[in-house]
Amino acid sequence: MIRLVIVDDHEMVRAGIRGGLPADIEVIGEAADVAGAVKVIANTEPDVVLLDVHLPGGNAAEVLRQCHGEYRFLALSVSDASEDVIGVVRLGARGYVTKDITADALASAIRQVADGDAVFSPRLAGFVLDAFTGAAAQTDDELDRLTARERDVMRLIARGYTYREAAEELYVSVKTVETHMSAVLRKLQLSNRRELARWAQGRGLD
Amino acid sequence: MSTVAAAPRAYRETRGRWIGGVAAGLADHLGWPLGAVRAAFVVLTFLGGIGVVAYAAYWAVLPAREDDQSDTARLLAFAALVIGGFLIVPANPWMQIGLPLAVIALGATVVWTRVQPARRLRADGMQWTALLLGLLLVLLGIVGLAATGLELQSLLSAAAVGILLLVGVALIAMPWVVSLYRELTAERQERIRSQTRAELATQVHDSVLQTLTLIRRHADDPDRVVRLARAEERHLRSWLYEPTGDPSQTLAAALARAAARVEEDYPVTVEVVCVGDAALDESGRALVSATAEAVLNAAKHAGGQISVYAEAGDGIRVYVRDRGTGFDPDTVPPDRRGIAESIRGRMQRTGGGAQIRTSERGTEVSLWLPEA
Repeated sequence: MIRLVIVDDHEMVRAGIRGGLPADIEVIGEAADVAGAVKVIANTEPDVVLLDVHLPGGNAAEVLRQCHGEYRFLALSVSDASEDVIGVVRLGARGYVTKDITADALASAIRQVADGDAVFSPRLAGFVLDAFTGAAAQTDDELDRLTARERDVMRLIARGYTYREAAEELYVSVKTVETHMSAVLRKLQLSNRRELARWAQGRGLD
Repeated sequence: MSTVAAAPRAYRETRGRWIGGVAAGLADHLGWPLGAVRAAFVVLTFLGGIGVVAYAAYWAVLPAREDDQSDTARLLAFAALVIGGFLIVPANPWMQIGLPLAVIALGATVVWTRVQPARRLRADGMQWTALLLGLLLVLLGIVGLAATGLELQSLLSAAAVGILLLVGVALIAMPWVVSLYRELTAERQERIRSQTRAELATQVHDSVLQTLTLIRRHADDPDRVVRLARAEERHLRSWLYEPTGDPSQTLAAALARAAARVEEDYPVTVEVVCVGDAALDESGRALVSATAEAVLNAAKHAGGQISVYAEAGDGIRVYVRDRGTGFDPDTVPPDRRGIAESIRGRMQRTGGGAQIRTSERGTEVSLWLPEA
């Protein structure tokens, strides 16, 4: 059983998400703004927080900051704007999905985050490849570079492959793919690459 | 009907002028012969310098008929001429008043004509220089006027008093100036905000409201409603988030447009992810057409979610993936030219290629172009 908190300022959206969740995911709390989210999260100590990027009274970044990275966050947004995506991921979200995601895909994303894995949409994988391309090849800092294998995994995710399909394509186990994804997530959060900083700054999230 | 005729405005004439166009402008305004006006200024100049003082004052007050780049240079030359003139002409009682007056008038001229209030907020080096120069000239003139007949020592202390006075005034005026500055900044920001709001309102009206009306009208046709909603969403999204590129010029914009067209005609979702971007040449356009064909096939035969991934770097690679049930390439009738001609043939002619992988879990078409 995964205990979930939903943070979104639209009641309709929260209801929609609640209605589409399978039995193994239980909604134990909901909030509509930053202050409410921080309170509910502290009170209920959920396994996963589904967090809307744009909230009244601040934004998702504020919630991520105030919760000190103690919980696992999956960011949710209507927009694919790169600065939103990169910004919340750099502040500790373990994944990013858009609101047009199907109920099944959302459920499996929530399970992945609960297991400590990263969730990359094709769009996010594209951003990562974009950010780590070019000058990145020359840098010595391991955090500023993707390995060839990580790059392969990112490409397949960007092409719309699931983790399982990517694993088959590369003749590795799903676990290996997940390890690569977590490594990329860590680099995304810790790297000081200019592109990442610039994207994050676009919304004052850095 | 108004019986009061608007007094015709006087201008400085910028065409055919000798110095600042003051004489020409006045002559035109008053209907006097130009020669007479010029002569009057010259004669008045010999009466204690009144001519140049008046000339400088008019320069300050009268706007130029046409903007002229050489105006500043002319003004500076005039100032140098006047000050130099007063210095070489032997002193007489009239001159002791005339010179300071001329200098004050020139200072005022510089400030009034060069420093435009509307531009005061901008960090414009030229404006600040002009302001400083003008203030300096005025100060110099005032000191000169006050110090008529005084020794150099007294002159210096008079100058010091003048400067102190200015500093005092500046100190007193500071809060007012700062609040004025803040007010103006706020006003400008408000203007920008309201412009943004107006743009947003237009956008919402042109798209969202229209679409909502259409949706209401077609409420009994779910397919149509879904399509309308999706098209509107894409439209808004591209307006809000996506960099505006020219679909005929760049790869990313071209693919986005191709995907949008298919989404309009079929109940599918096409997600386009681009890494890097490239300017489109002839073969790039062929690649985009082949991609569009592949997306169209996916929409017709597989439906659902279609992923398009493009990577531009050393050449261009594009992948179109669907989640259909696949097909057997050998059973596609030869007359179905879609794959054979539109995709394979097109890519081969560009020097690139196409590959199709299909299984019961979906089909992926990969297309590539070699580096140009």
